[in-house]
Amino acid sequence: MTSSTIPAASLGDRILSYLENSWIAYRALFRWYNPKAYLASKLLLPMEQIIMYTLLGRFTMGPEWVTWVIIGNCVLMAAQNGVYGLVITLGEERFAGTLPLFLSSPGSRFGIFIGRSLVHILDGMLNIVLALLFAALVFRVDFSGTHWGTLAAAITVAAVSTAGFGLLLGSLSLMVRDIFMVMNFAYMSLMILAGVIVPPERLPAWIAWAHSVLPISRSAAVARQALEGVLPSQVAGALGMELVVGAVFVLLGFSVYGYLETGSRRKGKFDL
Amino acid sequence: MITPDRLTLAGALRAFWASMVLHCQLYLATSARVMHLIFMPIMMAFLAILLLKDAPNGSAVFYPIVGVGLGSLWSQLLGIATFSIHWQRGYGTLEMLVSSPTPLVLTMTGYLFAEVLMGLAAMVVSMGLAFATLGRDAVIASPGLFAGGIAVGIFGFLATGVLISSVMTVSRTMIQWLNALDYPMWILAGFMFPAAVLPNWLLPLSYLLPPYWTAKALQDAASGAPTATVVTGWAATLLLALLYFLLAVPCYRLVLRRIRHTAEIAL
Repeated sequence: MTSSTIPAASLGDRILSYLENSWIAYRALFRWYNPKAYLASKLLLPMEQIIMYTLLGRFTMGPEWVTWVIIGNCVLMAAQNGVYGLVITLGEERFAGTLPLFLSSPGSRFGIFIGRSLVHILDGMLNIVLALLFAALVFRVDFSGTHWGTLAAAITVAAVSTAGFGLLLGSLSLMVRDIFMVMNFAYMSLMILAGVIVPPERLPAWIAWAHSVLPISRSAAVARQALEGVLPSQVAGALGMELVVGAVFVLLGFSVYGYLETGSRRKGKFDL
Repeated sequence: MITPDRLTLAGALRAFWASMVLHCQLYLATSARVMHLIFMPIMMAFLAILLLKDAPNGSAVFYPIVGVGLGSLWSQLLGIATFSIHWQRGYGTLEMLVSSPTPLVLTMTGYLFAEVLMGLAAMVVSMGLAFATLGRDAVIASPGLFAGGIAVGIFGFLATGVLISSVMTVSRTMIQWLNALDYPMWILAGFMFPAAVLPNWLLPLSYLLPPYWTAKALQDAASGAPTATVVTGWAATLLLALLYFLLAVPCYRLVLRRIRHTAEIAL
């Protein structure tokens, strides 16, 4: 072995490095937070959002839509991590000055790219569970007939597919100066088009197609079905399709990232 | 010892105007902020219009649309009320602002007044979209009273922003709560649905907010309520705005005394 050769890492080391990377990226997101502020963003803001849109849904569409809107909002909580968390994690690399380090590291690009999402997926699932608890306690949503396996599957798929969406948005955010615009546009799009607050049949024809290509569209519908006791086998197709959507977003995101990296090397601009 | 001249009304107006113009220039220099100003109301108005499709109650059709304009204005104002001082820290101009004879509260009022005026674009955008898509359902029954309500509402929102900015200046922790402060106003002020749908114990809180009375006066004017009802909303807005201004002045004095005492102006 020459002195310039880097020894290959063992599989165990790689997994450990992957997990460590995920955790560091997640913690860095909240570097300026104290525990109280973290709790505010974790508990208070989602609850306010659920109250706001539930009351709006009841006022505009009638009380029969309340549970529909609440469950949609609960599932949307995965996007707090999937969209906001991941876009900031990826987009802020440039402002934090860590992008050149990332680009010059010998680690697997795809591994690191995907690794950014792991803790966000778990945290997004926790977000949905907390929101559902809030819905049960405050809005008295009836979970008595729920098939918990179906609900758990819907929660998991929502968090995974939203993270895929977030990885694409995070890559795109490296191309623009205002990442908040990207995040808000994406979050509002999910809110309006993914069947979270607005029933899909109310979407105008020119934009209705977006419903089927966005994450959360199917998992929110499945979560509602889970409350009626629908079995996992009956919704496997819908959830599988949403996982495919999430995977396509990951691949698109990685392609954009790769394109930007190649361009930055060619132009000698490490900050993309 | 040289003592600064007492601030005259003309001098105060000049300082107010200068800070207002400066804020407008800084705002318009950032295209992303201008995009945000237009984009959020469009998205929210689109959401409201879709929810209102086939709405059973015709009189309710316009309610959320007016609310989108007011709510977007509020979100903008809250952001600026929170970050203005901190941006000044970043620019390195806060020391100059604090040491100048012009009261800080006056400069901040100028900034926030400009913000409210530009935030009215949200109202124009949301209502324009509603007129274009809802057609004859989107009718303002009393346009004159509605316009009067907007003029009065400017002071209601401004006073709320000034009071909040004084609190945000003194506490950095509050900045982390910024997002959590946004929705409560949308809910308590009844921007997109009547505050009457809230539990009774929450209503006194709504009554203490100038934006609640502004929203109520505008909704009343839009739905053709008697003039006396609309004017009552104006009076309540102006009264509370005055109270908020009176509270903001000593708050700012306290802030200045504190940051001078602890020598933490730029920290």
